[in-house]
Amino acid sequence: MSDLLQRGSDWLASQLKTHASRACLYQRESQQVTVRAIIGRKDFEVESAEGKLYFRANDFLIHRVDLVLTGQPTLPERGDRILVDFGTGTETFEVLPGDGAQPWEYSDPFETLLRIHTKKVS
Amino acid sequence: MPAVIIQIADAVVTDLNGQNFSRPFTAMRTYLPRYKLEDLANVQVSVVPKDDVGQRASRAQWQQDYKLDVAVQQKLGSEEQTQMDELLLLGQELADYFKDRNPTGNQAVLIECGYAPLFDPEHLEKHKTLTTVLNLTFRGWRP
Repeated sequence: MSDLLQRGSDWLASQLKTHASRACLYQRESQQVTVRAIIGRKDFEVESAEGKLYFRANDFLIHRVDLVLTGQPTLPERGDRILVDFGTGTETFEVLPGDGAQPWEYSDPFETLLRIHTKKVS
Repeated sequence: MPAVIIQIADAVVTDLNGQNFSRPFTAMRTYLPRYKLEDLANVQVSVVPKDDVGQRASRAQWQQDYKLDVAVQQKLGSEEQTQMDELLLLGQELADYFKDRNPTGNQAVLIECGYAPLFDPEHLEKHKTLTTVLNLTFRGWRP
């Protein structure tokens, strides 16, 4: 008998993808794939000796199995870009570390969803 | 008339903007550089007045050290290392430029010029942005 919690987590992930996601273009250099992502947003202000830097940090939740570049399953890498249109033109987000050192992490214990940290660059 | 350190900062800005360097930019004076990450697609140069410290030189005169920061910032693209090399070269050009001339006229002389640290590693890691700050110290005298 499979893990009931895993079945629930998989169901929830599929529901999010179906009902709460948006199409995005995931790019690594010349490779790209269209994926559906659940998007979270937070605005930051960082103060340092050199002044203040403002940026929008979006987390993209993407099904791990959807991230396939040139036919090969892959994991996010620092510097990858995600293009998304929120209705006011295409915005570009770059995969970069968030509060921690890693630019991405699994969002659930069963490694179904990738939580990809990004910052808006254009 | 503005404070001497502001006059010096303005002279530095005017001087920088009148010269061609390996990367084009328009310097501006600011008290606190504020940028959105997406604004850093092009090189941004900010001149910031930092310290104005006096030491008595005689009964009638104070020796004043005016410290300015010249911050060079840019968001890096996919050619990260190449772009960093170019920006650090620009930084060296700016430093060498001031070593050879005095933008303040007879108001003060440059006595110290350098980058320490050379760049901000946290900006590089977290924001893939190069931030390098040229520290300039001009020395002048005031009653």
